[in-house]
Amino acid sequence: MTAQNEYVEVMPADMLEDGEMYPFEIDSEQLMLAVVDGEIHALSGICTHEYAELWEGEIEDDTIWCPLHSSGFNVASGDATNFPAVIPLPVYDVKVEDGKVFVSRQPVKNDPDDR
Amino acid sequence: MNRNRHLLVLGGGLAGHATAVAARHNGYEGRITILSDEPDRPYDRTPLSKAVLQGKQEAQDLFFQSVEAYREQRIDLWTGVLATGVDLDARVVELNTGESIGYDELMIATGARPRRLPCPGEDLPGVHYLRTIADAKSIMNDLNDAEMVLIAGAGFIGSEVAASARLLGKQVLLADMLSAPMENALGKEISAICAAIHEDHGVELRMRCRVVELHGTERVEEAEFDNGERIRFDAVVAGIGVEPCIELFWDTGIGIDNGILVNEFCETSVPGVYAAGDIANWWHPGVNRRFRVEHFDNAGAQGTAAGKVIAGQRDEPFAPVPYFWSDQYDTNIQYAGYPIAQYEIVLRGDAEERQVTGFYLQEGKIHGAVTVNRPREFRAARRMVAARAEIDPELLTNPDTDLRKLSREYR
Repeated sequence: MTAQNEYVEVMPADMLEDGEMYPFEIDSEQLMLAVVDGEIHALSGICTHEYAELWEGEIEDDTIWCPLHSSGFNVASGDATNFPAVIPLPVYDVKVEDGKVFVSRQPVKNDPDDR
Repeated sequence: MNRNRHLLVLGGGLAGHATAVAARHNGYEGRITILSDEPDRPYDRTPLSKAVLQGKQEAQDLFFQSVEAYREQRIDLWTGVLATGVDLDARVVELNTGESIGYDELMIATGARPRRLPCPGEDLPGVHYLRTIADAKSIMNDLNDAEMVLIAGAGFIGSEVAASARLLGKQVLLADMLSAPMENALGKEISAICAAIHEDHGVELRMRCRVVELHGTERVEEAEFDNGERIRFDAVVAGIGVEPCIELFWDTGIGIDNGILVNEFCETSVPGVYAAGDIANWWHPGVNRRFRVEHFDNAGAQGTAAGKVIAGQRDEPFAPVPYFWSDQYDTNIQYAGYPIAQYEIVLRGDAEERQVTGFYLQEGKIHGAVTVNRPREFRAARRMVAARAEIDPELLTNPDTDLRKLSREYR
């Protein structure tokens, strides 16, 4: 059992570029950072429609586009904004401390365990 | 907006679902009813020919949302009910239950149905068409015991069902009158790659060939082709296109031409009546022409657009870049753009490796783009289509060109 408020160090913040996505793993879950307008977001990296690695897709404005079937997700809320996906992406909390990005071990929104 | 209004959605496919949800989401306060002749609430049909047939996905996982979600959105689902008549002046729809139901706004999202094979024997047991969960279940039942399967028609459904049947270990013959699979949608260069992919996987292709009769006593046993050849089959799946379900509207006076005519706000010729999805023949103000699009993405996007208009937000015309995908074996195909007619094609990648990105040019401008197993380039290619970009073909074909960087200015 891990604590709800536990955070994991992911990568240095100065490595991140706007409009890009960065995959990483926590507890063998595939997550990613997505950077938009200087804001760092952490979300599940796997499309909720069908298995696809979302970081292979692209961000346009505030939408993450799945590379395989063009499902769209809002980068901040995780909401599915374009079919075929209808299930939102789990969203994780992000903290930057001492130039390092930390991500919550558990989703803070759209936790699949709550469905 | 008035709570006493009633939006009636005819058709429980994606376009109907999207209309209802978007109308509610954008502030429609009245009653919303979805009427569907299928027994189930709205579901995603696209896995039927793929994951469902292959036994990797269950029908119960296809629904767009739960019954509770519809209840929370105050969307009433009337499933298993057929509309048998419509009076657009009185704003009333008659049902096969003998009841009638009035409306203030009507969404026509009755979709399309598979075209039947125009040959004797097309109604024999063992001859299948694919549109619904029930169709998929019946194909799966038949494939269980089948060894030899004929797929008549090599468009989307035919190509995907051929791949699924092959993945299930069946011997598959894929026949079409065109010269290669998906030729209508993708043109001869890309469809040649589609043909090669089927052959890589052991499908026998019979192109430029027509089924003239299906023979059998209790069920289909044999197909006869236009060259006189007769081949034994245990099951047949036909995918030769669809036709819009417009029969309810023939005598209503509403504008019809290859589907229900709508403008860029999904409005028909009758005030308060809208259409979206496979049945809608719509005006695209960006390219100044009409088309009817029989793809999933359009049903969702156009339904959503119509729902906004119905909720009173009539500010943004519906003018998207049409999009479709197809998954066959481990191949992902995506296309963004307008229906292809006359074009020049510029290819990058490696056809031998079955990995290609193609740009369809009209008068030098990028009018469509396809990726075959190159999903990383798809979004960039799509941006170039949206911008109708004019880019030096040498730059497009050069393997050192980073399409994402090249397309950045169109973001």
